[in-house]
Formats: sequence, C-alpha cells, structure tokens
Amino acid sequence: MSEAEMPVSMQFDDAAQEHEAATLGMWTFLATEILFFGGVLMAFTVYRRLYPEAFSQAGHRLYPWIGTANTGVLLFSSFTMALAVHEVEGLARRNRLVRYLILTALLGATFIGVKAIEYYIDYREGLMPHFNFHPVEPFEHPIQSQLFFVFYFFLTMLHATHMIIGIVIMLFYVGRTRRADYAHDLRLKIEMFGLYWHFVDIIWIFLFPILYLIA
Amino acid sequence: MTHMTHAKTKNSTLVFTLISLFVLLGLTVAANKMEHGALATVIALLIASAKAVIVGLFFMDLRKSTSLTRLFATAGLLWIFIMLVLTMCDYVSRGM
Repeated sequence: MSEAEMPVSMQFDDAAQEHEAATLGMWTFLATEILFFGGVLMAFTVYRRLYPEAFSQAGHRLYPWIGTANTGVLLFSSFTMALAVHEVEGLARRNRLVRYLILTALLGATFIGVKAIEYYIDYREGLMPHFNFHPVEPFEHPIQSQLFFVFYFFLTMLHATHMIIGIVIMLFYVGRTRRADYAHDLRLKIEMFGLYWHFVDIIWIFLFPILYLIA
Repeated sequence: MTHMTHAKTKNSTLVFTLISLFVLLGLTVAANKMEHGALATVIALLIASAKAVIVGLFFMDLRKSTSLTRLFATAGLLWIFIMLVLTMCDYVSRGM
C-alpha cells in the first residue's frame, strides 16, 4: 500500500499533515518532561554548590564503569529503535520491525537489570538513604552526603520508571505489529514512541556525567 | 506512489551516528581520567550536550523536521536554561 492510499484520520488533509501534527504533539510532551527532570536537576545543582565537598565524596562511592557500560547499552538501544522506525514504512518488512523492537526492549531490560544490581551493591555498601544508610567507610558530612544519594536514587529511579513504561509500550506494539493490526495509525505511533525512547536516552546522557563523573 | 511523509534516514547514517556516540562516550571517560576539577565538569557537560544534539538531529530526525518542530524541541531547553541561570545568579551572588 502506498502512502497516498493510506487512510488518514478525518481531521487531516493528508498523511504529511497528520505526521507533522503528531510530531509537534510528541515534542510538546517531551518539553514538559524536560521541565519535569529539570526541576530536580535544578535542586541538585543548588545543593551541589552549597555542599561541594560532601557531594564530591558521596559521588566517588559510585562505580563509573557500571554507569559507562549502561550508557553504552542505552545508546545501542537508541540505535535499534532508530532502525525499527526505519522499517516502519514497508508492510513487507514487518518481521524486521518486530525484531528491532524486541531487541530494543531487551536492551532496555538489560539496562534496568544492571541498574538493579547496582542498587543492590549500593544497599550492601550502606549507601541507600532511609533503608540502609550506614556507609562502610563513614563520610565527613554524613547528612549532606546522604542528600547526594537521595538525589541519585530519585533521579535514576525516575529515569528507570520512564524506561519501564517504555518497555511495556514497546511490547504492546510488538503484539499489535505481529497481529494483522499493522495499520497506518500504528506506524505513526511507533515512530512517535521512538521519539520518547530517544528522549529517555538523552536524559541518561546527562545524568551519567552529572551523577557519576563530575561529583 | 506519491511522496513519503518525510525522507527516511539511511541505515549507514544511523550506523555512523552510533559510532560517533560511542566515540564521544570514550572521550567522556578518557577526559574524566585525565582532568579533575571545574574544567572536568565543563568538558563532561559539553560532551553530553554534543551527544544529545547528535541523538536529536539523527535519531529523532530533527535534521529533517520543519522549523516549527525544531522550535518546539528547543522551547523546553530554553526555559530550563532561563531557570538555571537566574537561580544560580541568585545563589552565587548571596555571598555564602
């Protein structure tokens, strides 16, 4: 089926207009997400300036190599997501689309798995505020250093929640694509979902240096 | 077949994008090993921004988007920038 024959939702003149409207809507949502994460990052920046020493000492307890590995996994998942969107046009290549979506979901799950192991290590080392904050090697400023970990867990959990939501939506789309349900609106949705996935990747691109490296 | 809704990004472009992202990730780690202090912060954030721009342009297709879409994409960043700058002006000038 060519693009011209594709049914378009009734409020649009043609597929190009529908595509533009969907893209604008998605970016509007992503802008609100930037403000959502931005508020927490703003608070982090203020406290990092107020307690530079405590935040620096706390940040050094994290494992940059785990963060680096996870960044690699996430960058690769963005690549497979882009490949999936690349396959979205042709009906004949449905199987490849499904494969790329599943691969992206698996990479996302890998990221979450590594993060879970990392949380467990943090817990074992007594770095988890409220649940177990008895650092093996005590901090000079325990209260301020604990604040760093509050931010660390809040930011990374907020990010991980976005990823889990993304994985669930992705599996849902895999199901619909495999059924004969592969209609025009689904192709558009997968493309817009790709924007969300890349955005979550960009959030991590900033969280990684802010939490792991420059503390 | 009439024109597509938008031109597709080539597979080779996507591969090249991925490679450049991994190169930048390597740079981040290398720079962090060599440099410490305020300069390291600036370098790390600059590289992160470069990565974000690459993802935006090539994976999120902003390169081929309309000006209106690009405007929407930068709007959120602009507001965050204003908030960060004004708030930090306040904290830096308090003389604590």
